[in-house]
Amino acid sequence: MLGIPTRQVIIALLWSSFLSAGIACGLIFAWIDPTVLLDQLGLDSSNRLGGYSLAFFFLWLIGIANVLICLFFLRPVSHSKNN
Amino acid sequence: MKPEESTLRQELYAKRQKIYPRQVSGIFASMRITAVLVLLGLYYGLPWLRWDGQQAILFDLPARQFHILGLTLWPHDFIYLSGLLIIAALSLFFFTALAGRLWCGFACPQTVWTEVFLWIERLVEGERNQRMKLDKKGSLQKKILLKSLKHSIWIILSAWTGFTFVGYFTPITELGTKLLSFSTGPWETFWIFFYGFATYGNAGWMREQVCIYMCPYARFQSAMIDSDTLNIVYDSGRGEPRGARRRRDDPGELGLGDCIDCQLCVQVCPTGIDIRNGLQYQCIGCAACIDVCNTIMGKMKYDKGLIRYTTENLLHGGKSYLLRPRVIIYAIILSFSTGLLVHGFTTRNSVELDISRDRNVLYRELENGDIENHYNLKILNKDRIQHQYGLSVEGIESANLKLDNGPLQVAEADVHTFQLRVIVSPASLRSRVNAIQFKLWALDDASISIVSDARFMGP
Repeated sequence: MLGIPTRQVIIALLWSSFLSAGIACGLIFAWIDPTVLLDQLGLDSSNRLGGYSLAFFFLWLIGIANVLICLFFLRPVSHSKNN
Repeated sequence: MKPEESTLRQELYAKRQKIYPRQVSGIFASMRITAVLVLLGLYYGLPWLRWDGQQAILFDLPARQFHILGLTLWPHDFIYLSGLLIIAALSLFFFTALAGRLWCGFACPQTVWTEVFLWIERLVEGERNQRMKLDKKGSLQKKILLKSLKHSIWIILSAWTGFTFVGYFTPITELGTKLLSFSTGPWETFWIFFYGFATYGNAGWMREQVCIYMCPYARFQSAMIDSDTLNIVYDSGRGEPRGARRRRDDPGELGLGDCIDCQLCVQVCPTGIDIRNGLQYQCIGCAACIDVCNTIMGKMKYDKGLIRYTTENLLHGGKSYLLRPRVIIYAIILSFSTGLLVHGFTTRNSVELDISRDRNVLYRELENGDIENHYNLKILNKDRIQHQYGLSVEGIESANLKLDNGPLQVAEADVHTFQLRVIVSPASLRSRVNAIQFKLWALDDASISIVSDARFMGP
């Protein structure tokens, strides 16, 4: 796929989204207390560690979805011969 | 397909070959062992350090406080953490410009843990040749025995690493007690396993692939390097043409250079490259090839330094300059941002004030016609002693303050919310929305004060 090893594609998918999720988590929770989010979701708001963790995995999933779409659009488009 | 294209394709699709790094001794190997022991000593040891009766370094996520050697950082202080990260990145640029990938070769966690995992591998499975023999021709029984022993030790070390990692975020002594009675919380347990698994995978299995595929720094470090940067270089002018020979042979007579083509520089390389092909981005600058080549040069009674730290300019007979625009600019930006951070941190305010209007009521009209607004007043005392505060309001003349749950007293490193009413006579209101300022100051310390903007709503 894309002319690079499959393991590189997998790493690009999981790792770049992991990094961005980590950074986003740090930024978000510097300003927002996770208990506020947990309250909004109707979850046990006393468990902050759980709040951080859930948010991290949610952001990671969003990141993975984002990279998947990106990889999809990166697939070569077939060109007509006179191009 | 053109011929060069086909070789390129083959390289891109080359299956990963397992690398069996050979053990090496020498000055750089000793430096790395020292670095590994110091850094891992710090990593595993620091959470157990106590300071003023509590854990010296604790990133207390549940309480949203970072404790570093008696200092408490709050979410508001996030800016200092970002500043610290920027300084770390700038230092990386600075040192890369000076001497290449020092970080990768000696200090990167990937290098450090891989080194330890390799020690364990060597201890259990033996040196390079024995490990290769075991993988190729070893009996199933021997393989199972040795491999399961190796992986068990790796897993125990990884689990301890994960435990230590979580110990930076939740008090480690309590965590230890909980672990012994198998009563760690679900997220604690999860993160111990997660980090442990990452250690085991990265240092045991992924190794050089982390540097090649996962590390962004490896990809862009070449942008910081110029012809005056110290790098690990093979002196091809001296080494070529390479070739095997006996120790007593005169290389000049045979028409050979100093490289005896023993392949040891390739065998010791943790990323499996041949340094004689020139500077490559897979090279992590660990200098293992320098060490092993110097040993061989010594045995052959040739001059050392066929592979050495040198700059491109020096290698080609030119002059090299330590101080050049790139280095000077990095140094200036680095010292400027460090100064800024230190200044900002030493003069940081030890009180934070957060004022929010009560959203339920816009305003209230009292019996005597006065207008009343309600506010929530959140005071964060970042100081290490308890303070009582004074509060005043400016912006509307006749404004009166009424505290419902005063006095404004907040314990050290604590946050408290107070209910506040501001009452004004309608005559002094100029419009429906009026800008006001609250000023808060510590009664016992005039240097602690803060001003916060708010709005007063009228009819």
